[in-house]
Amino acid sequence: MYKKIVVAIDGSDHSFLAAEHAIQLAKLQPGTHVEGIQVLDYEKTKADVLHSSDPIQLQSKRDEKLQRFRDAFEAASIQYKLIMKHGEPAPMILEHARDTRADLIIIGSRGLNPLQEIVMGSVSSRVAKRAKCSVMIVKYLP
Amino acid sequence: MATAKLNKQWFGNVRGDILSGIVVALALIPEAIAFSIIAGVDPMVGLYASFSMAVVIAIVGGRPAMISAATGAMALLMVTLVKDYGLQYLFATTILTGVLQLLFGVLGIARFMKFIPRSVMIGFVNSLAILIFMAQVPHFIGINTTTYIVVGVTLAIIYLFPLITKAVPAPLVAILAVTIISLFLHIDVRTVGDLGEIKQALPTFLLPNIPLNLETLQIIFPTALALSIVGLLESLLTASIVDDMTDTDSNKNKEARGQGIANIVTGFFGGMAGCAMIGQSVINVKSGGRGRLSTLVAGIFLMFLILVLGDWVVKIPMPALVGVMIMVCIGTFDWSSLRSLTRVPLSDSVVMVVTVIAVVATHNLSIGVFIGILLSAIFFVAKISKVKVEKSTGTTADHTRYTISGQLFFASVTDFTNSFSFENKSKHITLNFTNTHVWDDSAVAAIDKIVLKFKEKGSSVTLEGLNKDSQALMHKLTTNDSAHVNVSNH
Repeated sequence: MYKKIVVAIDGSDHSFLAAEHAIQLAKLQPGTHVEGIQVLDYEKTKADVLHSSDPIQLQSKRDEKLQRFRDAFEAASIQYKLIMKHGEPAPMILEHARDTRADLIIIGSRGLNPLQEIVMGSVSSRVAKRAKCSVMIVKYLP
Repeated sequence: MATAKLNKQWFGNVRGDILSGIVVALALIPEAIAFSIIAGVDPMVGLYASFSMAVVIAIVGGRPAMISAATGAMALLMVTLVKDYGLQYLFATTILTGVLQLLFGVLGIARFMKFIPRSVMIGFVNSLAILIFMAQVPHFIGINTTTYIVVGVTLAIIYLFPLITKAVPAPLVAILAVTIISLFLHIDVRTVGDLGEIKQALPTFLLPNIPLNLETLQIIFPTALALSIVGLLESLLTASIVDDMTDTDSNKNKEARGQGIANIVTGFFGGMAGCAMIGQSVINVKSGGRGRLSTLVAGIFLMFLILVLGDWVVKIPMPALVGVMIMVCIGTFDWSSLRSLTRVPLSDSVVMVVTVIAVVATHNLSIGVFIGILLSAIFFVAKISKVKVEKSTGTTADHTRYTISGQLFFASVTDFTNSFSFENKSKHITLNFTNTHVWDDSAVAAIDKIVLKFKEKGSSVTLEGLNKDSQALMHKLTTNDSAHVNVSNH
């Protein structure tokens, strides 16, 4: 059904669940391509750079966070790509989905309360509101 | 090829660069004024500095899209000099700072940046935030209730306005709103005009009016040295952050030279020494700035605004500026370091905290950094000075083998020597050095001593497994050649 799925990844369990959904969907139809995109927030760059001794170490620290996603994609033997980009999460995910002509975006829901949503902004609801393709929001039920 | 690259650095992103440059210019004005007040000079000195730093660094800097201007870190270092000797000496210091930075850049300072541990850099930004906050205290504690309210309102606007739109910098909106409110309600607070005047004129070339002699140099050199080091530290850190944000690389030595040139020019045009700013550079990249044009636009637009709006700038209430500065402190402080305080090795936490304490106690970032580096060097030496000596029975019953692992140097020789008991009755002793490295004369002397002691007890001693460097050092430094009966290498 879906040819190209973009799944938002931030290293959290919520996003891992989203990735698992992407895998299951991709398995249904051979030839489906999954793009896992991790958006590194500009606001966090300063702390990231400060807490690492050099760019190479920083890169490998970030790569490590994606390892279990890579493992899951490999194990499912589907076509996939993992991408890391800097920017604001919601616009970046949308831009990437548009550029790669994705027909589905899968994104985990952090389960924020209304106040947190006002202050921090819910990435998933912003993506859902502005996306030009279908969006699946995966709820994390503990 | 080079022209194509330069062309891209300048005109690869014209629309984004112009827009972000304008945003940065707006965000720079309150900071430039506040940092001038910290340094104890007229707001114009900081504004001229921000204009000239930005324009010059746009052309000669090594990191496109990075913003340099008058900064808090630099302002804090000049307070005493300005108070004791005045503005002319500050201009001279700024020029000398530039000369030193240019020199450091030519000598390739960037390669030494890796010797500054990250805990020292974290301590650097944290103490910078604390110092900027402390500098605000006299402007809002114990003046009157209105002052507290204005600071509170400013902060509320700064943190709540982005929920409406992020297109306009919130600090500017806060300053505008608070200034207008205070003008209409005739609120009794001090304004920027009470602390200095705004000239609606372009900066002009001037030679600092100081005697050119050794005494002057003695006055300005210590401050210039501290400024040049702190300026490069913050600039190269900022460059790394912009590198990461934009996924591009930059020439750090060119940046150091550029900072030098920018400070020299700034000093001659009546500005105070500046450097790159983390906060403003992040704003620039977030607003879409990627090329040199963004920095140039920021500088030129800032000057344009002052020429046009100078009359209004003096009406800005001081508590509004204090609010903006408190925001700068909150943004500068590395809050994640508090969380990681218990997770990182204890020595790292100690270095960070000691760096902060040293800076806050001395009000001098360069002293704190120096103490931090020294302390982490000591910790490092302590860490790698652990040696282990393992004793095992050799091939025959009267043969004992000692296997040494760890680094052998001045700090580890005592432990090394104490690891041997000379009660041994074995006829043959082998010392295995495969897992160690002999670094200095103390190590060689210690080995000599041990070999001699074994020989006194009537044993024959064989040294094995010495690596090439260690062998060469042993050969060069050993005082008791006969001690080394057989130096065999396997």
